[in-house]
Amino acid sequence: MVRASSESQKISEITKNFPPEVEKIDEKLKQSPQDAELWFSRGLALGNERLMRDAVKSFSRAIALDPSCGIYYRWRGHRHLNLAEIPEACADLVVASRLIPENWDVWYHLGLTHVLLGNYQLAELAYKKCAFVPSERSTNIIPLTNWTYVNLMLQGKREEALEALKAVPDDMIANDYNADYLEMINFYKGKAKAEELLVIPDGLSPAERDERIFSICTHGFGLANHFYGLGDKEAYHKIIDYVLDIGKDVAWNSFGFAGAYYTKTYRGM
Amino acid sequence: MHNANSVRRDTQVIFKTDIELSPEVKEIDAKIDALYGKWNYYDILPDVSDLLRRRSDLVAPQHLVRESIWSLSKAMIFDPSSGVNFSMRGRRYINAGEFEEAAADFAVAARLIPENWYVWYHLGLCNLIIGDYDNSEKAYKECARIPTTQSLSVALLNWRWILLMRQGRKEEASRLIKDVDKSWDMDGTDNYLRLLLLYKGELTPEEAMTIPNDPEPILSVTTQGFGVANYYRVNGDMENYRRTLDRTIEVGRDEAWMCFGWAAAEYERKRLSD
Repeated sequence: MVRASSESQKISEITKNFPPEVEKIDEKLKQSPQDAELWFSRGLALGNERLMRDAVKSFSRAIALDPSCGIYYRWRGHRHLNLAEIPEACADLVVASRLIPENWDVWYHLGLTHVLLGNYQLAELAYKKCAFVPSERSTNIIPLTNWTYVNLMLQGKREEALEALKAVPDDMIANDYNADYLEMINFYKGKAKAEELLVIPDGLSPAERDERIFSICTHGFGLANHFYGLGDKEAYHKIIDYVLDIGKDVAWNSFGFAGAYYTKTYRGM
Repeated sequence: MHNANSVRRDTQVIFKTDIELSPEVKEIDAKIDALYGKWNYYDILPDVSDLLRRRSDLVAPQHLVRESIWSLSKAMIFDPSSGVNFSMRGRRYINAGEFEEAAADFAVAARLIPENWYVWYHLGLCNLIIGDYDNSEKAYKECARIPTTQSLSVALLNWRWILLMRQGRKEEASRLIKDVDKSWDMDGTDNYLRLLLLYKGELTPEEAMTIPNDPEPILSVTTQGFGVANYYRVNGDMENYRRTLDRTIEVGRDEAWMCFGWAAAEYERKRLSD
């Protein structure tokens, strides 16, 4: 029997040098090691620095101290999602949906994990719940509509998918992190071209280029699934491979990249 | 200076292995797929959690611990209130050396199935390894209240002794094991008894590491090794602590890396400065 090695099942290195913000929290934790909220803050700070695995561990410490606090599962699930650990992400978000069902982000991210796992009808249910929960920003209707569209397209429900797009008014503006998703919605509505969403313009600074690659991964995964829903598997595979190539260094933690990696590698899509 | 954009994917993401699943796992996958296929989404999905739990055990002999964790996570999606799911996944997190995640799962399981001896035992162990000694002590006290077999009681005594010693409570630790006797019947598993005899000064560290005529010497070293290493640590012999951790990791690296002692040894060794 062939057995997996230890190295193939875990991350060998551990983080030993942490960002200043985390070090500050670590100082406080020396005085109050059983303060679940401090562990939670530490997890948030680590995630902001892309130390996703360390973030999962900090959120786990918070959960170990206060297992009934829904927001801890919501954020741990989010970080599992960044790591393309979709089953663990989904399990955490299911638990969070029982503990804090009034939280918009819980249903939104739960829906996404169900899409990636192929639980399309459960995703549909999660998104319907999400639509009824008040959100902190009006533009959140945009990403919700994007994933609702993707989910319906993956089920072959094209008419319903097009109908769902009406939730985003044609004159809607997004000046925040939902701007990428608005471009997707405009593409689905036929107001933008696929190629425009996937190119890196000349003359960008390194930081702008990284940001653009992040956007391309978001766009790419949506585009790929759009073509999958239309039955164009060739375009689907081409875009998924493009996302996995262009995003592997700077955008591996984006949902688009994680989604492309999980569905290709684990679901053979 | 930390730079978020320089965090490499391979330091965070665990990649898929190309090991082929066994015929038994493929068979159960087919059953799960068939259930999904029949499920109408407005009724209960019958048996799927049970099948996923069985799958989590079936992949273990191939050391596919991530597959096991994911199977149990999928079971949780359909049955998020099951203490058994959390307890089973907690054990797999220990196999993977992910003691923080394990502690979280056992903390949940302790709320859902508080009558379960193993849940408190493992919660105590995880908290001990991650350095939360207060919560480890609470868990072990709960565990000690639940009736169990003599061999499991001895296992618990081992960890409680280590905990007390790490807390600097040497007299309490001595009192805890004063009645331990080498004649106790251990149902053929006297690993932990040998460690207690070491703590009492009735065996040497080397004698405690190995069992005479042992059919599974590698497993014994990895199980005993962490205990012996800790014996050195709590007695201030950091050089032998480090050396015993290294020996444990080396001996078990290929065949016994999923054993709890190996995982704990690796966890602590990684956090020691070289």
